[in-house]
Amino acid sequence: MEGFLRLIRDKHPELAAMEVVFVSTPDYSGAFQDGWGKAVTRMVESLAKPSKVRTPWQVNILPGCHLTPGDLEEIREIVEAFGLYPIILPDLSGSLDGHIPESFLPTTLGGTKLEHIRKLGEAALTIVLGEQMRPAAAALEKIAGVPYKVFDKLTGLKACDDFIALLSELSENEVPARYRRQRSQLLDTMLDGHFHFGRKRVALAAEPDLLYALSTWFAEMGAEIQCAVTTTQSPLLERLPCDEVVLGDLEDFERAAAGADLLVTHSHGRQAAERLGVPFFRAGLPTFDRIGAAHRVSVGYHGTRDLIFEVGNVFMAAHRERTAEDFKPQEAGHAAAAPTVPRH
Amino acid sequence: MSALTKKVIELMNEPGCARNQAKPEKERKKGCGKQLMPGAVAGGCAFDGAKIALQPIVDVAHLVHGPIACEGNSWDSRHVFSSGPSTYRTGFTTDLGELDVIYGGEKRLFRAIREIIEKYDPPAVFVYQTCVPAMIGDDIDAVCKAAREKFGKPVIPVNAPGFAGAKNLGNKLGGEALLEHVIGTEEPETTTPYDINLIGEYNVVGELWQVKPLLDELGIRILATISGDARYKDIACSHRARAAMMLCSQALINVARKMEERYGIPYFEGSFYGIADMSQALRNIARLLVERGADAELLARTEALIAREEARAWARLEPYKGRLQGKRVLLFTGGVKSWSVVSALQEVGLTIIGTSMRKSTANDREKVKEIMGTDAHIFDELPPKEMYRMLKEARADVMLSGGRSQFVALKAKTPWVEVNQERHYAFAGYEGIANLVEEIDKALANPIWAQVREPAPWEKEVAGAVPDAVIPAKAGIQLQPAYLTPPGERRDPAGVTKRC
Ligand code: SF4
Repeated sequence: MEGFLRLIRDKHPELAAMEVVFVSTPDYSGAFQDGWGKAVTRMVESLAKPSKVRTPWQVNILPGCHLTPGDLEEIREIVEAFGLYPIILPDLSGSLDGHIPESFLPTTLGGTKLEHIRKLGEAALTIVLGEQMRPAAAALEKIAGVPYKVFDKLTGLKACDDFIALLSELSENEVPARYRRQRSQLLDTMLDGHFHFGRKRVALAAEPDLLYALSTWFAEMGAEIQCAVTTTQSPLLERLPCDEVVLGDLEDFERAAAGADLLVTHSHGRQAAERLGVPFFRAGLPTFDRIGAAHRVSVGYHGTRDLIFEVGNVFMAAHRERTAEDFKPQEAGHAAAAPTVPRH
Repeated sequence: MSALTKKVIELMNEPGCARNQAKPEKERKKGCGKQLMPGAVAGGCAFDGAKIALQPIVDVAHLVHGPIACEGNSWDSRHVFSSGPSTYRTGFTTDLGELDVIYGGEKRLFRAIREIIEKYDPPAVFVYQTCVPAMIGDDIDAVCKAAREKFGKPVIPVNAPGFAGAKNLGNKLGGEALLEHVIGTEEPETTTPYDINLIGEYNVVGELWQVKPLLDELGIRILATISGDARYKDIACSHRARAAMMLCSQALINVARKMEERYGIPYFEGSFYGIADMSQALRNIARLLVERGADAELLARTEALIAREEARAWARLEPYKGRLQGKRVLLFTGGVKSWSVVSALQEVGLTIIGTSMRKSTANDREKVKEIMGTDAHIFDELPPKEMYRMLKEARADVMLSGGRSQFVALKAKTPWVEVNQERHYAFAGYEGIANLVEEIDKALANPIWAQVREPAPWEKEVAGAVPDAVIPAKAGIQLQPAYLTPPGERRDPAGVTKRC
C-alpha cells in the first residue's frame, strides 16, 4: 500500500497539497475500537508537526469511539468554561450530531480542521479519553513532546472530580460556579439513586473502553457485575470489577446473563433481553432502535447524573409488586422469597 | 356534646390501653388527642389515621369527602398489597370547591356515592369525613344512611376529621366505624375451631403473606385481617373468630377489646417482627385456640414448626454476623420496632446506639432497656436538626426510620433503611428479619458513601491552604473563548506533568 501511494504521488504532482492518511485495518485483526485508535494514531503521525511553541490554553482531546457527539459537546463546553481551547480529534460533535445542512452534500460536515490537526503539537497537554487512544497520544508526544494524561472514563463522581481538578490546575482558573452546582446535584442524585442500584446484578457486553466506563460506574453505584463480555484485548480488562471477562459474542453474553437484573449492550442485545425476560439498557454502537443515542450524554457531573436517572428508571420500571404467590413456600417447609445472601 | 366529641373522649379513656391507664387522670384526658406541634416532624392527622387503618380493605371504595389535598397528599403512597381486587387503590374524593364550602357539600357527596356505585359496584363504600366539611356542618352520617337506603348497599361513615386529633386517634376512630357499621353484620359460610382474626395487620408490602403460609401449615385459618388484604365480607363476618391477635401496638386496641366484650373473642397483643416475637405469636395463637376448643395437639405441632423455622432463620442470619459486627444503628420508628427486632439486630453484631419510644408502651420501654442494658439512648423526641447533628457527627453508621426522616439521613450522607408504612421490603416473620438484615447490610456496603463524603476538588485546594500570593499567575487565562493565535509569551503548563 505504501508503495502504491508513493506511485500515485509521483504520477500526480498536482495532488501534492492533498493529504492522504493510510491506515492498515484489515477486518480480521482487532475490533472497532482498535481500528478507531489506529486511524487516529495514523492521523497524528502523518499530520501533526513538531513544535517548539506551547500554547498554554490549547488542550488536545483525543476521544475514543465510545463517546457520543453529545458527550464531545459537553466535554468541549466544560473545557472552554475554564478558558481553555480544545482541539478534539476526531470531532464528531460538529459532524455526526444530526444537524441539517443547507444543501445536499454526500459527505458529512464539520469534524476537526486539518490546520488544527497540524497544530496538535503546540498544545499544553493532550487529554486522552479511553485507553484505545493512548497510542495516538504517545505518538504525538514523540513528535512534539506534548505530555498527555489518560482518563479511563469521565463518568462517575471521582472521574469527573479528577477531570475538573486537572482543568482548574491547567488553566489556573477556579472551578466555575456552574460545575460546583452540578457536582452537588450529582451527589444528591447518587444518594437518591443508590437505593435502586444496590446489589443489582448487571450483565454487560461492550468494547473494552465502554465496558470499563460503565461497569466501574455501576460498581460505584453499588451494583454487581454478573458478567462482562467484550470484543478485544485491553489493559483495562484486568481492572474490571468482576471476576471474569469473556472475549466473546452475544451468544456467550446471553448464556452468562441469565438471572441478571439488567442487560447492557447495543441494540442487538434486545432479543437476548426479551428471551431472558430481563430489562434492557442500550449502550454502545449500534443503537438503531431508539432515537437520540447520538445525543445521550454520560460524561461530566450532569451526564453522570442523567445516566443515574436513566438507568435508575429502568430499574424502577422493572420493579414488580410482590404477590401472595411470591411468598409461598417453594419446597416443603421452606418459605420463599429469600433475599440474596451477600457473595463477598 | 357532638357524637364525635363523645367518641373521642371515650377512646381516650380506652381501658385496654396500658399506656393510657398508666397515666395520671389529667394526662389521660389529653390522651392520644395530643395536639400536633407545628414544625415538629409530625405523624398525620386523624383522618389520615383512619384511612391507614381502613384502606387496606381492598374491595371497597374509599371516598374522601373534602378538598383535594386530604386525599391527594397520601394517595398511593402506602404499599399495602391486595391478592385480588384493587378498588382500594383508586383515590375517590368529592374534591370540594369554594362553592361547596359556601352551600354545603352533602349533595355532592351523595352524587359521588351514586357515581361510584354505578361505575364500580363495590360491596361497600367508606366515606371519610375531613376538616372542611366537618366545620361547615356536612352530616355524613345522614348522607350515608340515605345512600344506603337508596342503593341498598353498605355505605359506611368514618367520622375522623383531621382536627379531632393525631393519627393514632384516627386509627381508633376508623376501628369504631367498623365496630358500629360492619363487624357482625354478616355470617360466614363455615366456621372452624381454628379461626382467628389479625387486628392491626395491614399487609404492608405483603408482610401478611410472609406469615400466612406458616398459619396455613398449622391449619389455622385467618377469618379476617383487620384490615390487610381484607374483603368487606371478611370483616363483616369477623365476629365468629375463636381468638384474635392484636398487632401494631395500640392502633386498634378498641376493636380488639370491644370484640372480646361483645363476642367473647379473647385476644393477645403481639408482633410478627423479630424471631422471638414471631415464635411467641404462634404460641399464643395456638394456646388461645386450644383454650377455645381446638385440639390440643396443635400445641405440639406449633412447637415443631417454631423449632424448624427458628433454626432456619438463625442460619440465614449467620453469614451477616462478621460483616455487621460493631456497626452502629439508630433505630427511629414507630413501625417495625419491637424489642425482638432489637435483639435480633444485636444477635448479628449490630449495636443499637439509640431508639425512639415515641409510640411505645411503658412495657416496651422496659424490654428495650433490658436488652440494651441502659435507657440512656432511648429518645422520646429527636427533632430533625438534632438527628442530623448526630448522623453528621457519625455517631451512627446507619439509620432505620420512616420515610419522613429519609432526607435527614441522606443529607447527612448516612446509609438509611426504610422501615415504616412506605417501605418496599417485607420484614415480618422469620423471613422478614433476614430481609431486614440484608437491607441494612446492603445499605452499609454501598460504595457511594465513601464517594459522597469526599470533599470536592476545590474544597481540597482550600484544605491545602496555598495562599493566593504564591500563585501570581492565577488569572493567567481569561475566561473568554480563546483562539489559536500564536502566543506572544511562552508559559509552561503550570503543574502539569505526564501522569498516566
Ligand atoms: S388535617 Fe384536616 S384538612 Fe388536613 S389532611 Fe387532615 S382532614 Fe384534611
